[in-house]
Amino acid sequence: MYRLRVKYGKYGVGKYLSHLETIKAIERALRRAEIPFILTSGFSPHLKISFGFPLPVGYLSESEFFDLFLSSPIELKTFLNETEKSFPAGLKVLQAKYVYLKGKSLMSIPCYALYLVKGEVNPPFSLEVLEEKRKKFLSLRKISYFYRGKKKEVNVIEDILSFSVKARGEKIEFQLLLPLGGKRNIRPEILIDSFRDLFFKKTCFKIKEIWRKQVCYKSNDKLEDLLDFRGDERFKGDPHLN
Amino acid sequence: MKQIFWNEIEDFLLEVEKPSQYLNNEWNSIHKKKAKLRMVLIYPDLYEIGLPNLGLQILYHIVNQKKEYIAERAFAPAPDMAKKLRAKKISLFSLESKSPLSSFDILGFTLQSELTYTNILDILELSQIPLYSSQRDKSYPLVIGGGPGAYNPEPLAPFFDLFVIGDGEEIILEICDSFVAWKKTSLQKADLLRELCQIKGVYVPSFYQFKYKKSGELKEIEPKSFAPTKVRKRVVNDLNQVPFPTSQIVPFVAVVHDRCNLEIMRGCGRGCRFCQAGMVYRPIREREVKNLKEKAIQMLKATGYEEIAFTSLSTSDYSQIETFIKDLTNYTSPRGISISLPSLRLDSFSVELANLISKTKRTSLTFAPEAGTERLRKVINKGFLEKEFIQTVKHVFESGWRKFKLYFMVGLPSETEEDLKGIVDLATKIIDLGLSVIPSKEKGMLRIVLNVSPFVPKPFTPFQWCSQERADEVLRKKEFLREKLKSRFINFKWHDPFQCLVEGVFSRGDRRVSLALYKAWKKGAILDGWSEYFNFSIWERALKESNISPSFYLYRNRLKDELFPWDIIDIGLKKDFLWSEFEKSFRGESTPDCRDKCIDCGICSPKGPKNILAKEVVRREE
Repeated sequence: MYRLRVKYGKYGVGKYLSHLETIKAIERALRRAEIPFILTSGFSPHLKISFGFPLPVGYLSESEFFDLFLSSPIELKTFLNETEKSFPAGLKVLQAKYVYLKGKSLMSIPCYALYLVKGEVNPPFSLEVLEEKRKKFLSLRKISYFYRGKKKEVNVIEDILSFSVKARGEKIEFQLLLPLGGKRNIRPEILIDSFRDLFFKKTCFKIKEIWRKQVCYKSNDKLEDLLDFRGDERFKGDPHLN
Repeated sequence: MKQIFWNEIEDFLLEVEKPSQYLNNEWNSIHKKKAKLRMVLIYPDLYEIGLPNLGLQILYHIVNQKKEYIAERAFAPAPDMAKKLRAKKISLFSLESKSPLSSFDILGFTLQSELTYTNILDILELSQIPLYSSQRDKSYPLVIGGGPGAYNPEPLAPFFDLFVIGDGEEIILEICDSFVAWKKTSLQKADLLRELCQIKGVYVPSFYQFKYKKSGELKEIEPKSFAPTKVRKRVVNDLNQVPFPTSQIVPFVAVVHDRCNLEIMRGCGRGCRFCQAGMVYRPIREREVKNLKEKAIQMLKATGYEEIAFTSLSTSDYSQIETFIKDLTNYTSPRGISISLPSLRLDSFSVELANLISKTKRTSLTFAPEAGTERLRKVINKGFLEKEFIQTVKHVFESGWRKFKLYFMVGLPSETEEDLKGIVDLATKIIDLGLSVIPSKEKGMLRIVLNVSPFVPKPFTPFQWCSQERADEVLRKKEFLREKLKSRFINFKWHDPFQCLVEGVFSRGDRRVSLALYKAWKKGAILDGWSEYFNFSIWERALKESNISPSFYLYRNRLKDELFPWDIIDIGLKKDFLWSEFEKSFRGESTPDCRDKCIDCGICSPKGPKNILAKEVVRREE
C-alpha cells in the first residue's frame, strides 16, 4: 500500500462547494481517472482517502490536501495528467508526493494557514492610517467575537502569526497567517471584521475574495509546506518515496 | 429581456442555500455557443429532485448530439432564490449559459407529478413569459410539455402550446426540425402549430374545443378540421435502436437517486389495475444484455459514480436479469461499485437477486404488497399468496437483511376494515418472523419502513371510472393504522391525504380546473409536492373561487360510456379492455402477465410495437 499526499486547489465555482460536496466530487473524479486506489473493507466499501481541514464555503484555495491510499504506485506525472482530465471545473490537482505510509493523519497535524483576503474600500484610505490602525490592532491582547451565538476569543499574540494590510485606490488586501486545525482554528474574516468594526465604519470596506494560499506545519520553528510533511521518521524505509 | 451576467448572480449566490445547485459546470454538462435552435429542458421542481430524471437526461443528450441544436436545463429555484430573483428583477435562467428562459426557442417541461403544476406557472412568471398560450405570439418561446402528466394534459391545456404524448426519443428531433424550417419563414405561431399537430404524438390543445353537458360531464371534443380526431401516443419500437446517454450529468449537490441510472426495460406486463405506468408504457421493451453491459461500463467510466441502478417498472421481470447482474458484478465488485434494484417483485427469486448484489454493499430492500388481504390484492390484480410472501420475507431475514421497506395503499376500490386489519396483520407477522429468525444479538437492528399512500385513481387505468376515497375517511384510516402499528420496529410513513386530494383533481381534471391552478398559484401555492410548502387552505379557496367542486372530479363513480377529457389521447389500449379489467376487479378475477398469455389489450400490432424480450445469453461458467 502507498500513501499519496495530494495538494489541490479550489478556483472559480469551486468556492460554492461544501466540504462534503468537494469530497464526493473528488472521489468520483478519482474513479473516472481509474487511479489504483484501495477500497476499505466492510459492508460498504469506499475509497481509502482522508481529507485535510475543511475549507469554508465561499473560500478559494491554492492549498487543500488529501491523502490517497494506492494499491500500486503510479508515476506522479501520470497522476497529475489523469486527474487534470477527470477533475470537474473549480477543482484542480496541483502537486502530489508519496509520504510515509504510517504517521499522523492530515487532520491531526497542527498547521498554519496563510490567507489572502481581497476587498474593496470606499472611500480609499491612506497607507499611513492603515498601518497605524494595524499596529494598534496587534497591540490588543484579546479580540472577542461571536460565532454561531457563542462568544469566542482570539489571543492576539499566540493566534495571529502575521497580519499585514495594503491598499491601493479602491482595492485592499490583507495577508494573515493563522492557526488551522482541530485544536485551534481562526477564520480570517473574523479578524478583518473586528479590525474594521474597531477602527472604521462598518460600510467602508467589503470582502470580495478569501484565498487560502498555503498550509504549513512547524518544523524546528520553521514553517514548511504541508506537502513536505512526510510523516513519522520511524516509518521510513518505504521504497517508493522519492 | 436583458442578458444575465454571471457576476450579478454571484453577488448573492453565497446568501442562498445550497448554491452549488445553480452552477453550470457539473461534470458531463454540455456547453455550446451557436445553434439554429436553442431549447431549454425544465424539470418544474427543485434541482435535487429533477436532475436525476432519466427522461430529461435522455432528451438532453439526443438534442445536443445534433450539431446545430442546443439543449440546456433549468429547474424550479428554491424559495430563497426565487425571492432574490424577484427582488433584483433577474429572470430565471438556464444553468449552462445563464440565459433568461425567454431567450430560448422552445421550453420543454417534463410533467412528472400534478403537484409540480404551480411551479410551472411560477417558472414562466419568473421568466417574464405570459402564462397563457393565447397571450404568447411568436416572439415568445414555444412551450411544450411531455412525460407521464401529458397523458391527461387538459388541466394544463391553456398554458401550453403543445404536448408530446409517449416516448420522446424520436419525436423531439422531428419537432426541432419543423421548428427550424418554420423559423426561416415569416409565418405565424398558429402556422407552426398547425404543421406540428400533424406529427404523430403531438397534441395542440388550442385546436380542440371541449363541450360540456349541463351535469358537468364532457359532451364532446371538437377538433379543428385540420387537426387529428385522436392523438396517438408515440412508441419507440426497439429501445436498442435509440440513443441512451452514458455521459450522465454528475451533480455537485446531493440529489435523490444520486447514481448512474440505467433503464433496462420500458413497459410492464403485469397489469396492476391501479398503475398508470403499467398501462401507458406498454408494450414491454427490453434492451439486449450486451447493449446494457456496454452501456453500464461506459456510464460508470464516464461518471465515476459508485452506484448503478437498473431502472424499470419491475426489475426482477427483466428476462435476463440474473445473467446481467452476474456479468456486471465482475466489473463492479472489484471496484467497490454497488448495484441497486429499485423495484423488486415479491418473491424468492428477487431475494436471490438481492443476495447477488449484496456482496458489494447491503442497501435496503423494497417490496410493494400494496394491499393487506388476498381478496383486495386480487381486486387490484397484484395477486400473490400471503404464504409465499411470508416465505420470501423469511428468506430476506435469513439472508442477512435486517431492514426493508413496504409500500401499501389505502382507499383502494372495495376496501373494508378487514383489508386495513390485513395490513396490520401482515406487518405483525413480519415482525414476529423477524424476531424468531434473526439472531438475538441483531434483533435490535430489525426495522420495517412502512409507507402508506392514499390511492389516487389515474387516467388510462381500469380504475379511471372509480371514486377516490374522501380525505377525512383516509385520515381516519391513517389514525387506525398508526394506532395499531405502534412498534419500535416499525417506522410508519404517510402521504398527506390533502395533497392527494389536489393531485386527484388534476389527475382526472378537465380544462376547467386550470383556473383553480392559476388562482392557487396567484395566492401563493408553490412546491405543493413538499409537505413543508403545501398549503391546503390556499387550494380550498382557489377551488371555491373558480367554482370547481372537487367532488365532481374525485368522489363520483363514472359510467361506462362517459367521455373523459383524456379520451382525446389514444395510448393504444382499447377502452373496452380497461373496462373489462374494471369489471373483473369486482369479481376478484385476476389477469395474467401478458408475457404468459396475451390479454388482448390492443397495444401490439404486426408492423408496430410489440413485446420485445432480451435474447438469452449463454454464460461461460468461470
